[in-house]
Amino acid sequence: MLNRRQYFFALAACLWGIVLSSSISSQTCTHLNDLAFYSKGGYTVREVRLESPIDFLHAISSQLNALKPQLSVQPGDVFKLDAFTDGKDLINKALDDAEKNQDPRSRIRVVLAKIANCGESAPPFQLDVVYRVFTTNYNAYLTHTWEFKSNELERPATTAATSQANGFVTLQPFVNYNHTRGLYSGVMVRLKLPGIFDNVEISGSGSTNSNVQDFQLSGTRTPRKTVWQRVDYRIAYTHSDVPAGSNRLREGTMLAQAFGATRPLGSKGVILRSGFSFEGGNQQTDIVNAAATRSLVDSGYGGLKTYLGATLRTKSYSLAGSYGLQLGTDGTTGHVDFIKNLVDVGFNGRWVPQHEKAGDVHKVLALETQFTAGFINVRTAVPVVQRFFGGNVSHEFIEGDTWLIRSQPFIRSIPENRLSALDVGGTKFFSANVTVAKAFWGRAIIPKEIATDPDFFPALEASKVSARNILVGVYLSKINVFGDILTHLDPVEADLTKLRTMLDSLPAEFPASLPEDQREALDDSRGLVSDATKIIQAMFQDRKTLPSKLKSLLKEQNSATCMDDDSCSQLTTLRFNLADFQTQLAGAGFTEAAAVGKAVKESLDRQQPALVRELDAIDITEAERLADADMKLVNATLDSFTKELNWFAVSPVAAFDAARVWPDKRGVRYGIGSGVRLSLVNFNVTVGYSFNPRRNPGEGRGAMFVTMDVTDVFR
Amino acid sequence: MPNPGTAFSVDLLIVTPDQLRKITFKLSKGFNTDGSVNWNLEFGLQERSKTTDPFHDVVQLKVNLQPALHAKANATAKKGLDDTQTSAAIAAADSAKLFSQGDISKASANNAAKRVIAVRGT
Repeated sequence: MLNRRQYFFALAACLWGIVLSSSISSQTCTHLNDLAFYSKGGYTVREVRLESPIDFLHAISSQLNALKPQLSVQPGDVFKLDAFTDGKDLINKALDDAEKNQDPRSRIRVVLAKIANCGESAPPFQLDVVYRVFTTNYNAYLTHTWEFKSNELERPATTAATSQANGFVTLQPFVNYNHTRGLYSGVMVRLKLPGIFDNVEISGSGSTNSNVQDFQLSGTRTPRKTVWQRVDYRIAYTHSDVPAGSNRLREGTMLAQAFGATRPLGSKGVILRSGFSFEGGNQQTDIVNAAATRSLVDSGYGGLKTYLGATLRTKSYSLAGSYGLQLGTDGTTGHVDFIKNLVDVGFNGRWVPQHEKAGDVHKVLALETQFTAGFINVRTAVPVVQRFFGGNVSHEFIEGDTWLIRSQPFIRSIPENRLSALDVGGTKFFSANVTVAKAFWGRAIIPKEIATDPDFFPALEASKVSARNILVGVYLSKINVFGDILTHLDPVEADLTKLRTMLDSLPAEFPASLPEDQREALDDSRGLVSDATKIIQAMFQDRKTLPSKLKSLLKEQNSATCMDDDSCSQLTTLRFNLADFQTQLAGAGFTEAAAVGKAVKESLDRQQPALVRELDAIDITEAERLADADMKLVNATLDSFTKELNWFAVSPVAAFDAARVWPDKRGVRYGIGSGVRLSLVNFNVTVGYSFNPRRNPGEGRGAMFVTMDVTDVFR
Repeated sequence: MPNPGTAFSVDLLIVTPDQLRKITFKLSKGFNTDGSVNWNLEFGLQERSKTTDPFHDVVQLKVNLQPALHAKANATAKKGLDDTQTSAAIAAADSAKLFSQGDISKASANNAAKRVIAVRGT
């Protein structure tokens, strides 16, 4: 079992591993502007290295080591540029294959291939080939919402000994620490299911003074054509036995829950969320004087929890607010024994300095604030576990929901469940928390070799434009505005059928009586007309995707000159080729075929201008809107990766908390602390110490806090 | 310092918030045997009707952004595909399929691919 000191040592070891992984070559390569210099046969490969900033993790290093023998460049080989480039593609393909079962929500992967350590001064001329792999897919943390599943936060991959996802089974051991529970560890098993529920999950954790077990069946649906973007539902049982000062809180609860989030609404893209949870179970404590506070020491419990929330997200900040309502009973009647009200508001901002040196760590300033308040209206009695205790562990109003609403006062200078002076807790509270962090050291997620490449950012911008226009093309096939023009293309399709029949009627070999050059010209023209006809007919066969190809079929900039620069539309190309072919057919004595060709050409000549006018008049703004909505996500994510995210970063942290529970004569309690945050991509571990400036008898000077959270990169 | 002697790929995968569409976007820089640089964009869109279903391909395109034997290729490399080029690129995928089936000649398939650059407006 690790103690606290060892825990810090493990974190430090992780950081050191990152630093060590950035190898530095000892000899300079003087011809990096002209890699062909090394590929003319004079250089052999001394070593092939496959590196990753997180390859100190066993799962990563073993994956990379397995790839090495498959690379197209090996030690002892003569250095060849194509093999060097192919290695990068092979790594990408292998990582794609490895990822197939993981179903990640997002990831960015950078594979870098470079040469290093060139021995140029004397034979044997050698160099090292280095492939560096950067991937965010160490686990699926890059989710789309401002809030994250608490169970994922509590069981991050970076604290897990191993994490194995093999198709439908996930096994994840985890280790964590808080002052009240001490160091605790456990395991989570998740199994994918067919049918109504998508997953079954069982987890358990324990320490020397606590134990927690969970079982849940969960599912997600995405209703189409409604304001709801996503609906989650869950049936769960949870049991916990955790200390609370000199007391213990034990509870077992059965839950049936449903949660929903709307699509982004309005010009600001506000997302509304709502949900409910029916709960029933029992709770026990060791308290002896609870009756005076109308609290139930050992009782059943039942109730309904419901909430309404909203999220607003911009490039620099996220704003979220929630109201939660709980109607509770002691479990024996339908009578409401207590009513709990909660308000939770959060503001998170991230600002990146405008002028940063390319490739350097992004010195992001992060501001995180949260205000929470709660009030219990005790009508008859309230179970002790439902009262407010407070401390340096965040508790959620509805466990298991992706939407996190704090249900207890949070103050980092006081251990979990010890803010309240009374063993039975309070009935009213507020807490306000401010955290400021600024990265000062680390490494940007886009490696310096790429960020300083003068072609990279222009190519990235060009690629974004291409991707957007491709999406517009895809959505053209999905919006319902092409019905008329598709109908008006029917005569064109009929003309092509006639042309096909004519082509099929021609002899396989033109008569030997014709001069050879005439036969060759006929063969060439027939090939061009036949191919053009097949290409257009193939377009017509797939009517669903035809709208995205209509421009290519019908339009060119200048039909008088387009044959000179290959820019004619397919229909124009066919008409030009058909004009030549029907003339040649007439000259060769195929008068009937020539007449068909002429008639088809003239028919197409007549139809095409009208079709182009009709195409130009179609309003495609809906397709553009849909494409822009998709690209907003892509662009925001790319911007985060290129301008904001670091592979790792270290930030000093300042923390301030104020909180109070009523009844408590000690008034408002404060926490003033500092610490350090280690960020791996968007996963943050913050370790610090918060001082308690208004200590009471029996209280320590403060408390250590360890928080784990995830930065949303999808603003 | 800029390091032109580095090949790389930047590969982004995103599943849209409704989890029904997956977008892949890969930009890569490599070297030809003569030492010249080539740029490629691979773009894919996959869809599914339910979050529990597997994704299926809607479009998979690979575009060579290699600069620049003439102005239109340069403009494409620097500014991306315009809408006309996009339509040509989607149609060129059909031609490539016809060639792979032996239905049209390689020259016709190549011409369809060349059109992707040639049809650029400005």
